[in-house]
Amino acid sequence: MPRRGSLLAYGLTRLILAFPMLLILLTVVFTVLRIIPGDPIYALYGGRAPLSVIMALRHQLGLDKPYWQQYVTYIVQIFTGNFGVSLGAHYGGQSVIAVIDQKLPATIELSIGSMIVASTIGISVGLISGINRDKVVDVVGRLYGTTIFVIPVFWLGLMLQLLFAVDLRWLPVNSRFDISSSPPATITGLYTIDSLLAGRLDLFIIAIRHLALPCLTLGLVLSGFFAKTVRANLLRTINADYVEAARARGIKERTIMSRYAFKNALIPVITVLGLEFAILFAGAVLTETTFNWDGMGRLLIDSIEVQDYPLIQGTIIVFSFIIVLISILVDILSGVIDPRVRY
Amino acid sequence: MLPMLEKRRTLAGVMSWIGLGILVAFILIAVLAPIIAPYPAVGPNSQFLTPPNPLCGACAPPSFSHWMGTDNLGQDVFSRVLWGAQTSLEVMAIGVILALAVGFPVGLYSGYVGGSIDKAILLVMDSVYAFPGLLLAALVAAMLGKGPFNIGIAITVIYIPLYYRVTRNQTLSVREETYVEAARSLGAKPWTIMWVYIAYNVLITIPVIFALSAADAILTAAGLSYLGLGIQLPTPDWGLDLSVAQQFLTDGAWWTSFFPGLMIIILTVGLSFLGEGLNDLINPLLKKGRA
Amino acid sequence: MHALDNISLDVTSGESIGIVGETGSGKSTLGKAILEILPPRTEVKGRLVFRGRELGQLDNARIRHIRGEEIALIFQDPMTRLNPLMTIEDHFVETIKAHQRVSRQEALARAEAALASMRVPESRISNYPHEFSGGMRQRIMIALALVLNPSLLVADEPTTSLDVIVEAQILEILEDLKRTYKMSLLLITHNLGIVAEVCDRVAVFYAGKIVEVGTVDDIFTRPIHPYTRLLLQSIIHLDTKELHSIDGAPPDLVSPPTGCRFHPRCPYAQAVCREKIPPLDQFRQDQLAACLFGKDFL
Repeated sequence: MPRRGSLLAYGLTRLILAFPMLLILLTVVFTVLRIIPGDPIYALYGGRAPLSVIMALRHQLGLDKPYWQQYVTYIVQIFTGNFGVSLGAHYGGQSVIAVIDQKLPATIELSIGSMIVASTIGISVGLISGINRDKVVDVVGRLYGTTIFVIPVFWLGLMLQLLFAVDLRWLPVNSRFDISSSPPATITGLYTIDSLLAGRLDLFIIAIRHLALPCLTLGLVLSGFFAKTVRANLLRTINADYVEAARARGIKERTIMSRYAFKNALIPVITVLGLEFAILFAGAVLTETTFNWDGMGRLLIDSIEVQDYPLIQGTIIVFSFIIVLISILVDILSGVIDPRVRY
Repeated sequence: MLPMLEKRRTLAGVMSWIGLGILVAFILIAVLAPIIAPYPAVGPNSQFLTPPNPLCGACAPPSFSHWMGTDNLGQDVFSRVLWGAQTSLEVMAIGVILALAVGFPVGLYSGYVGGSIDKAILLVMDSVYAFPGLLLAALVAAMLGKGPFNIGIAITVIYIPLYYRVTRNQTLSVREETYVEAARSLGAKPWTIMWVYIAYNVLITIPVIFALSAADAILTAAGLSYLGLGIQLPTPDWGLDLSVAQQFLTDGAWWTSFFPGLMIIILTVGLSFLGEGLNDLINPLLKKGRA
Repeated sequence: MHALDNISLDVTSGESIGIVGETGSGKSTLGKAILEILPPRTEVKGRLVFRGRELGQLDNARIRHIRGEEIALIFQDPMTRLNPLMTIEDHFVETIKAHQRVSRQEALARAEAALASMRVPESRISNYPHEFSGGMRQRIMIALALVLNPSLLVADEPTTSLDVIVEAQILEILEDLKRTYKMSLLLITHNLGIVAEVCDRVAVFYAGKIVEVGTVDDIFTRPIHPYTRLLLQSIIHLDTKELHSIDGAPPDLVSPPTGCRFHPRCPYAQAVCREKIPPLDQFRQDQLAACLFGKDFL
């Protein structure tokens, strides 16, 4: 029996608590896809396919059964890893899992890169703003936080493309890799990691050059949220009682800032990280479209365009799983850093 | 200490006024578009018979007769941008008002009754809130089909949890106030307490959320249109025009994407200023009211 | 705003002085002013001489070394004074290493000794602050203040936020310290009972000024200043269930009253009290008071 307050016990509790969240998300997806408009095949094909085709499709997908029966089948299939087979023009006949497996690494690579850009820029701006409260730097920082957050990510992407790819020609316009060279052999599916594993620094550089603009675009937009949170928290911790007490003990000012003010200010940032990921994925769908990035977001939109119902459902479900997984990870991470959370 | 507070107040005031001014200006643009737009929104109206840049169709850079240039079909960008305000505001209004109409009563009820019902509703709302809003809206939009009204409904899904959260939390704190206790001990019915005594005091926080969610709704609606799930051509819409313009960007036709995006930014910045300004103005009022 | 005005106080080695006054009389500001840890933009005018050195003239590095090593400060609310992300061990090691070049083992050994002298179990040294009660945390704070053997300990309302039993324990500890370490103690409090128990001398504060200084005996048995008299009455009569509070509210320090700052609430106030600022005059051996009519109260 793990000790109360131990990390393991805490992690297990979070895991159990996350299950209802997953179930709710899956139910919401089910409701949207099957109940709201009547039925998805009609919504997607309505008026564009003969009735016999529609009826056959409905039967094939089990949509002619009662909702509760459909729901049970749906949940059972998801947890047995059976996401069905694609019906669309692009991936017809392939299993949904296989298609997603091809696309997921691109989105993961984009997301991680963007998070690195966002947290680096956002936390720096927030800290600088907070230290120089009410000075000009702070006003600029706050204005940055508010404005960057409401810039449409696709517009920013287009403008950065125009500047760095079309005008200056420093970086490639779009896509994950140069057409002239072939990407590294798939191990993780992340081109950066795979090229390093293969010992090909040249391919790594190509991958990074392609990642630069999309990650900068998405990272900049997300950094506003970080900047605001960090600043607000720093203003709180910089005047905290324990900071004053540390000063009275003669602790060096630099140590006080880093170990007391900064570290304590960054804790709530971990909590908002979960929300940040929700915004990140929404932004990723748009960024993938802007940069012709062959990931999950593009897959979802393409599947909607070609009315590939099993693929739409599968993509959304995978996103749900990722969101729940991140919420667990975020909770555990804050448990590792902040001992109070574990209780 | 006191002078600083005064300064903050006025800063919040200035922000709110700027934000309100921008919002009013955009409403005026939307209403007066038929009068102030120099050209119709749809159909070629380029002065150039031979397009200077054959790569992007009939597009032409900004000039005296076309302040923001023309797009690939020779349509005046300035006029389309003005007309586009109509679509954006319409979708935003539908989305945000519907979200309020659902989120507010549910939040009020949930916060007032408390207990396991409250916990269950909270869990559902929080789960939905954690999901990427745009993806959910895209899914609903794909099922409902295109057009301003359907898109309005699609983005409502994102903001219901937001209105619910704010209303519920505010209800929780107002519920324990003396005047509510007094009303309860005098035998007022739960329904009356909820709608007469609590609702009024919860409403004060709504304008802030209204402005902030409106800003986000504009962005989401534009995003849906950009992805090709929202508004259909030839209806003028900023997000949609951007997605068309993207195809000609590499040919150097920056004006067709720059100006629609700029409109989105000005409107959303205005709404955020309004929201944050109001927040700074209303929060002290709330605290004072409680003290 | 003037929180403090013309404070002049001598503390000799091994002596303990109580600073008493109502809430808002500027007592806490004094403690922070001594260590120069007041919020930025606060102006400190005056001289603070500690063992022949004037603190105001020392550079930041020197001042930092005096903080904690020579003058230690313990605060009113122990619940919020420890960094929630650091173990007790880290607090000690960090503090010791900030002042002296010692190994981690050496620092740990000292920390354990300091904790043991405060009767905090050594086994809990690797715990986090949130795992301790308020009383325990105050003991830890005192241990942390004493680990470097400072020659002056400033205790700012050290027991106010604790319950009565814990308060008694903490006071016992403070008395012990005085005896065993020959440390000077500046005890800031609104509780006259604590002062009577622990201190040798008392300074009574009113509206940022000292109105009376003297030995504990003199002040408690033969007070001179009307404010001191009323303050004592308000306590003594509590036993007879008769509440004698001082009429009127404590003054506003942003615009303090003219002349004698106590005149609006003083039952013996004359017209001249409104105009003339009373100097701190000696009325008896070791007893000073700032009252124009001090002689009448002898």
